[in-house]
Amino acid sequence: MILANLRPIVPGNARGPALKVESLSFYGEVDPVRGVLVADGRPIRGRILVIGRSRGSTVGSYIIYALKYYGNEPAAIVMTKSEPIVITGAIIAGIPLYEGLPREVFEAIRDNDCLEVEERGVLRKLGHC
Amino acid sequence: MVELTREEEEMLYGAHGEAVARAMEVIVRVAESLGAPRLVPIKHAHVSGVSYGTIGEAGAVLLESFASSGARFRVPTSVNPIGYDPEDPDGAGILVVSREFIRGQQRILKALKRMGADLLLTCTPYYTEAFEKYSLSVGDRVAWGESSAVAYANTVLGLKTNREGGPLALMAAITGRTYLYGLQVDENRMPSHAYKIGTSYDEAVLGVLAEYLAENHESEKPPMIEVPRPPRDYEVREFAAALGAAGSIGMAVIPGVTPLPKPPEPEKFEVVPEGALKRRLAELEPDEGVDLVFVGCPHASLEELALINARLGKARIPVLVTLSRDVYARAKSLGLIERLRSKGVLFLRSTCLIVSRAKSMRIATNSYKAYFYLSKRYESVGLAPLSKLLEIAGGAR
Repeated sequence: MILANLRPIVPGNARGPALKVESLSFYGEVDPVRGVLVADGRPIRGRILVIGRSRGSTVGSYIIYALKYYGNEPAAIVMTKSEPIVITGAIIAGIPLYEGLPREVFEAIRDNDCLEVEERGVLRKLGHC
Repeated sequence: MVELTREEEEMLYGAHGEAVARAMEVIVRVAESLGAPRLVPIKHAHVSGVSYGTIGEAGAVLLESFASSGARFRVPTSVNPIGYDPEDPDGAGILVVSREFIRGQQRILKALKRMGADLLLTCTPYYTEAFEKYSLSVGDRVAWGESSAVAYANTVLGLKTNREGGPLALMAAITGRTYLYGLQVDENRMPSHAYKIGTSYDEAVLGVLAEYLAENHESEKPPMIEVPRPPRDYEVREFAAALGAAGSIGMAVIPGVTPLPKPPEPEKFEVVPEGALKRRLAELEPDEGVDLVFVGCPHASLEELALINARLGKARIPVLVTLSRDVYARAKSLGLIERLRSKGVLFLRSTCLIVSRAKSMRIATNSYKAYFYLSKRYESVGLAPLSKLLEIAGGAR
């Protein structure tokens, strides 16, 4: 099922279970060495990271790069609205990044839903990953 | 769409190498996302996020990969404080520095040096003699990463910079470009809303004023601040740092301090409720027991060293001053360092308590920024103006 047409910032095909976070500061809330979210220990590697809002220190760009460096990067990052910290991190780490996820679609996505995003920006929900 | 010049397109498509292309891609994509119409050349960059303690192994590897793939800074570029004082690896008995940490930090410095950085290692590059040779003047465009320096540059120096953050300032240094947006646009530098504060104030009051503005100033344009007497330089610097820490404001307009192309005409005026500021200050007051008095966040000026020297007798509680190597050397040649050391003042150059790791202690500081960050790490961090700190240290005259 097609969920949305997103705007590619760093294009790239990706598929994986959703990792949904309402609001995220990469610096302080992501442990790049263990590859998990600090708050609840959810793993990041290979998932479609769906972020409602990102905030926090600009060191966050380096944390995104660190996820890649330690082999713990998400398959793609999907956001309602992108901002400089995530754009910078995604480009230097080469992680696919899309923006323009409608708020109601964000609300409807559940953690671990199987998502697929194509490089032109089509976001789909699949039966299973 | 972002309109690019031919040279910018060449940079983006790899004519200047892979590293430049990657840096240009970051700048262009951020410009697109913000809706900037085009890029503009900058005359200087200041890169933050260079402590091994902050950016870690991955940060070091990234900087090394840029340096070894041919990235070279296209404009003069200075660098923020690092995680220890290379001239005092023991950290004045206050910092915790391992050999592994020093190795990691040195790799970062080597990569930055290779790309052509001036290793000023300070958050107040504008106090150094080296800064003079950049020949920057009012109205020049720069790309600075350190939020306290950004607010100082816009508010005091009349330089134009957005709050780039460390990584974006690095990309701006590599490409010599930033996006035409925000505080790079003249009309966005004109205040819409003026705030007046009452009779007496000091840097601690300005610190909590910055917090008040972070919560209450909703305009994208800079707040205008009216104060009853001209502020001292270190008071404005502390205010700028507090604006950067408490929220996302990158500039204030202070009549008599801020260079503007035309007189400001704010549409709204507000008298800041003094009671609110006083109550907040009382909450932040240092506790009874203090192990360390901390001055120099952002890095101290000669003016402050002279002031401390004039007002401090013998310190019962150690006073730590963090500052640049450059200001330290000049103070030393004036005999100030020796006199201050004999009074119980400790110095750390090229670093500060925010970007290093220190032993656990109870701290009193005149820096709202230091309070903001250190109170997340230490049990007791209090805020008070310099005059009060020197009383606490035990030797005020």
